[in-house]
Amino acid sequence: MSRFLSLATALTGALLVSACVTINIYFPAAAAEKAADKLLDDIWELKGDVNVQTAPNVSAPASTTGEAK
Amino acid sequence: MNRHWLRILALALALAAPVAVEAQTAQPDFKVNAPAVNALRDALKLRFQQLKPYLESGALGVGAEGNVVLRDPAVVPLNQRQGVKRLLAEQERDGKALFREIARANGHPEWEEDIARTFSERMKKRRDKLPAGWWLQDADGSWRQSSGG
Repeated sequence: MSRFLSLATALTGALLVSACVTINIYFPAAAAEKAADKLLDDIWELKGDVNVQTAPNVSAPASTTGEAK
Repeated sequence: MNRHWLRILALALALAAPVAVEAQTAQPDFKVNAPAVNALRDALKLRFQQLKPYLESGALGVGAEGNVVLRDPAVVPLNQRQGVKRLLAEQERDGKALFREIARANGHPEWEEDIARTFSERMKKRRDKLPAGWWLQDADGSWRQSSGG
Protein backbone atom coordinates (compact mmCIF):
# COMPACT_ATOMS: atom_id res chain seq x y z
CA MET A 1 0.00 0.00 0.00
CA SER A 2 2.72 2.42 1.02
CA ARG A 3 4.77 1.37 -2.02
CA PHE A 4 1.82 2.10 -4.24
CA LEU A 5 1.40 5.48 -2.59
CA SER A 6 4.99 6.56 -3.11
CA LEU A 7 4.87 5.45 -6.73
CA ALA A 8 1.65 7.36 -7.31
CA THR A 9 3.14 10.46 -5.69
CA ALA A 10 6.25 10.24 -7.84
CA LEU A 11 4.24 9.74 -11.02
CA THR A 12 2.06 12.73 -10.21
CA GLY A 13 5.23 14.72 -9.61
CA ALA A 14 6.65 13.62 -12.96
CA LEU A 15 3.46 14.63 -14.68
CA LEU A 16 3.47 18.06 -13.04
CA VAL A 17 7.11 18.73 -13.89
CA SER A 18 6.69 17.69 -17.52
CA ALA A 19 3.51 19.77 -17.79
CA CYS A 20 5.45 22.84 -16.71
CA VAL A 21 8.08 22.20 -19.36
CA THR A 22 5.51 21.86 -22.15
CA ILE A 23 4.27 25.35 -21.32
CA ASN A 24 7.78 26.77 -21.35
CA ILE A 25 8.74 25.78 -24.89
CA TYR A 26 11.83 27.77 -25.78
CA PHE A 27 11.81 30.29 -28.62
CA PRO A 28 12.60 28.62 -31.99
CA ALA A 29 15.28 31.13 -32.99
CA ALA A 30 16.36 29.51 -36.26
CA ALA A 31 12.83 29.18 -37.61
CA ALA A 32 12.01 32.72 -36.48
CA GLU A 33 15.07 34.10 -38.29
CA LYS A 34 13.99 32.44 -41.52
CA ALA A 35 10.49 33.82 -41.17
CA ALA A 36 11.85 37.29 -40.34
CA ASP A 37 14.11 37.26 -43.43
CA LYS A 38 11.18 36.37 -45.63
CA LEU A 39 8.92 39.06 -44.23
CA LEU A 40 11.66 41.71 -44.29
CA ASP A 41 12.51 40.91 -47.91
CA ASP A 42 8.84 41.19 -48.77
CA ILE A 43 8.15 44.46 -46.94
CA TRP A 44 11.44 46.19 -47.84
CA GLU A 45 11.63 44.76 -51.39
CA LEU A 46 15.05 43.26 -50.71
CA LYS A 47 14.66 40.16 -52.87
CA GLY A 48 16.30 41.40 -56.07
CA ASP A 49 19.18 42.88 -54.11
CA VAL A 50 19.84 39.60 -52.31
CA ASN A 51 20.80 37.96 -55.62
CA VAL A 52 23.03 40.87 -56.55
CA GLN A 53 24.71 40.59 -53.16
CA THR A 54 25.53 36.88 -53.48
CA ALA A 55 27.08 37.31 -56.95
CA PRO A 56 30.54 38.57 -55.80
CA ASN A 57 30.93 35.48 -53.61
CA VAL A 58 31.31 33.32 -56.72
CA SER A 59 34.95 34.42 -56.96
CA ALA A 60 35.64 32.52 -53.73
CA PRO A 61 36.30 28.84 -54.56
CA ALA A 62 33.82 26.18 -53.35
CA SER A 63 31.56 26.59 -50.29
CA THR A 64 29.07 28.66 -52.29
CA THR A 65 26.42 25.99 -51.75
CA GLY A 66 26.65 26.29 -47.98
CA GLU A 67 23.98 28.88 -47.45
CA ALA A 68 20.40 28.08 -48.35
CA LYS A 69 18.56 30.99 -49.87
CA MET B 1 15.47 -1.14 1.05
CA ASN B 2 13.18 -2.21 -1.75
CA ARG B 3 11.02 0.88 -1.30
CA HIS B 4 14.14 3.03 -1.28
CA TRP B 5 15.08 1.89 -4.80
CA LEU B 6 11.54 2.39 -5.99
CA ARG B 7 11.75 5.99 -4.84
CA ILE B 8 15.02 6.54 -6.68
CA LEU B 9 13.54 4.99 -9.83
CA ALA B 10 10.49 7.22 -9.57
CA LEU B 11 12.68 10.27 -9.05
CA ALA B 12 14.75 9.38 -12.11
CA LEU B 13 11.54 9.06 -14.08
CA ALA B 14 10.38 12.45 -12.85
CA LEU B 15 13.63 14.01 -14.02
CA ALA B 16 13.71 12.20 -17.36
CA ALA B 17 10.13 12.94 -18.38
CA PRO B 18 10.57 16.67 -19.02
CA VAL B 19 13.72 16.01 -21.05
CA ALA B 20 11.72 13.71 -23.32
CA VAL B 21 8.98 16.31 -23.70
CA GLU B 22 11.52 19.01 -24.48
CA ALA B 23 13.21 16.86 -27.12
CA GLN B 24 9.88 16.41 -28.85
CA THR B 25 9.21 20.14 -28.97
CA ALA B 26 12.78 21.16 -29.76
CA GLN B 27 12.03 22.42 -33.28
CA PRO B 28 8.38 23.44 -33.44
CA ASP B 29 6.94 25.15 -36.48
CA PHE B 30 7.06 28.92 -36.54
CA LYS B 31 3.85 30.30 -37.95
CA VAL B 32 3.63 33.60 -39.79
CA ASN B 33 0.59 32.78 -41.87
CA ALA B 34 -2.39 34.14 -39.97
CA PRO B 35 -5.02 36.65 -41.15
CA ALA B 36 -3.92 39.33 -38.67
CA VAL B 37 -0.25 38.88 -39.61
CA ASN B 38 -1.00 39.02 -43.33
CA ALA B 39 -3.08 42.17 -42.93
CA LEU B 40 -0.28 43.93 -41.04
CA ARG B 41 2.34 42.78 -43.56
CA ASP B 42 0.23 44.24 -46.40
CA ALA B 43 -0.26 47.50 -44.51
CA LEU B 44 3.50 47.75 -43.89
CA LYS B 45 4.24 47.03 -47.57
CA LEU B 46 1.76 49.62 -48.74
CA ARG B 47 3.08 52.30 -46.40
CA PHE B 48 6.65 51.48 -47.36
CA GLN B 49 5.73 52.55 -50.90
CA GLN B 50 4.65 55.93 -49.51
CA LEU B 51 7.86 56.23 -47.44
CA LYS B 52 10.14 55.28 -50.33
CA PRO B 53 10.44 58.76 -51.95
CA TYR B 54 11.53 60.17 -48.59
CA LEU B 55 14.07 57.39 -48.10
CA GLU B 56 15.42 58.21 -51.57
CA SER B 57 15.63 61.93 -50.85
CA GLY B 58 17.42 61.33 -47.55
CA ALA B 59 14.68 62.87 -45.44
CA LEU B 60 14.30 59.44 -43.87
CA GLY B 61 16.88 56.82 -43.03
CA VAL B 62 17.00 53.31 -41.63
CA GLY B 63 17.89 53.13 -37.95
CA ALA B 64 20.14 50.62 -36.22
CA GLU B 65 17.09 48.64 -35.15
CA GLY B 66 15.87 48.38 -38.73
CA ASN B 67 13.21 51.01 -38.16
CA VAL B 68 12.55 54.03 -40.37
CA VAL B 69 13.70 57.28 -38.74
CA LEU B 70 13.43 60.94 -39.57
CA ARG B 71 16.91 61.99 -40.70
CA ASP B 72 16.59 65.43 -42.24
CA PRO B 73 13.13 67.04 -41.99
CA ALA B 74 14.43 70.09 -43.88
CA VAL B 75 14.44 68.01 -47.10
CA VAL B 76 10.67 67.52 -46.82
CA PRO B 77 8.49 70.35 -48.14
CA LEU B 78 6.82 72.06 -45.23
CA ASN B 79 3.30 71.04 -46.24
CA GLN B 80 4.33 67.34 -46.27
CA ARG B 81 6.19 67.23 -42.96
CA GLN B 82 3.24 66.36 -40.76
CA GLY B 83 2.19 63.66 -43.22
CA VAL B 84 5.63 62.05 -43.14
CA LYS B 85 5.66 62.07 -39.35
CA ARG B 86 2.25 60.43 -39.32
CA LEU B 87 3.41 57.75 -41.77
CA LEU B 88 6.43 57.02 -39.57
CA ALA B 89 4.30 56.70 -36.45
CA GLU B 90 1.86 54.39 -38.24
CA GLN B 91 4.67 52.23 -39.61
CA GLU B 92 6.16 51.87 -36.14
CA ARG B 93 2.78 51.02 -34.64
CA ASP B 94 2.08 48.34 -37.28
CA GLY B 95 5.58 46.95 -36.92
CA LYS B 96 5.03 46.40 -33.20
CA ALA B 97 1.60 44.94 -33.89
CA LEU B 98 3.18 42.54 -36.39
CA PHE B 99 5.51 41.11 -33.72
CA ARG B 100 2.61 40.78 -31.30
CA GLU B 101 0.40 39.03 -33.85
CA ILE B 102 3.14 36.61 -34.92
CA ALA B 103 3.65 35.70 -31.27
CA ARG B 104 -0.08 35.20 -30.88
CA ALA B 105 -0.34 33.15 -34.10
CA ASN B 106 2.20 30.79 -32.58
CA GLY B 107 0.22 30.51 -29.38
CA HIS B 108 3.03 32.21 -27.42
CA PRO B 109 2.26 35.87 -26.69
CA GLU B 110 5.35 35.90 -24.46
CA TRP B 111 7.55 35.53 -27.58
CA GLU B 112 6.75 39.08 -28.69
CA GLU B 113 10.06 40.52 -27.48
CA ASP B 114 12.08 37.63 -28.90
CA ILE B 115 10.40 38.19 -32.26
CA ALA B 116 11.04 41.94 -32.15
CA ARG B 117 14.72 41.28 -31.36
CA THR B 118 14.97 38.70 -34.16
CA PHE B 119 13.53 41.14 -36.70
CA SER B 120 15.85 43.98 -35.72
CA GLU B 121 18.89 41.67 -35.78
CA ARG B 122 17.99 40.30 -39.21
CA MET B 123 17.26 43.78 -40.57
CA LYS B 124 20.65 44.96 -39.32
CA LYS B 125 22.23 42.30 -41.53
CA ARG B 126 20.00 42.90 -44.54
CA ARG B 127 19.68 46.67 -44.69
CA ASP B 128 22.96 47.03 -46.60
CA LYS B 129 21.07 45.49 -49.51
CA LEU B 130 18.83 48.54 -49.66
CA PRO B 131 19.28 50.72 -52.76
CA ALA B 132 22.52 52.69 -53.02
CA GLY B 133 22.34 56.15 -51.52
CA TRP B 134 19.78 55.36 -48.83
CA TRP B 135 20.87 56.51 -45.39
CA LEU B 136 21.68 54.00 -42.66
CA GLN B 137 22.19 54.96 -39.03
CA ASP B 138 24.62 52.98 -36.91
CA ALA B 139 24.25 52.20 -33.23
CA ASP B 140 26.44 55.18 -32.25
CA GLY B 141 24.06 57.54 -34.06
CA SER B 142 26.32 58.21 -37.06
CA TRP B 143 24.94 58.12 -40.60
CA ARG B 144 26.34 56.47 -43.71
CA GLN B 145 24.93 55.79 -47.15
CA SER B 146 24.13 52.33 -48.45
CA SER B 147 26.42 51.15 -51.23
CA GLY B 148 23.53 49.15 -52.64
CA GLY B 149 24.73 45.71 -51.53
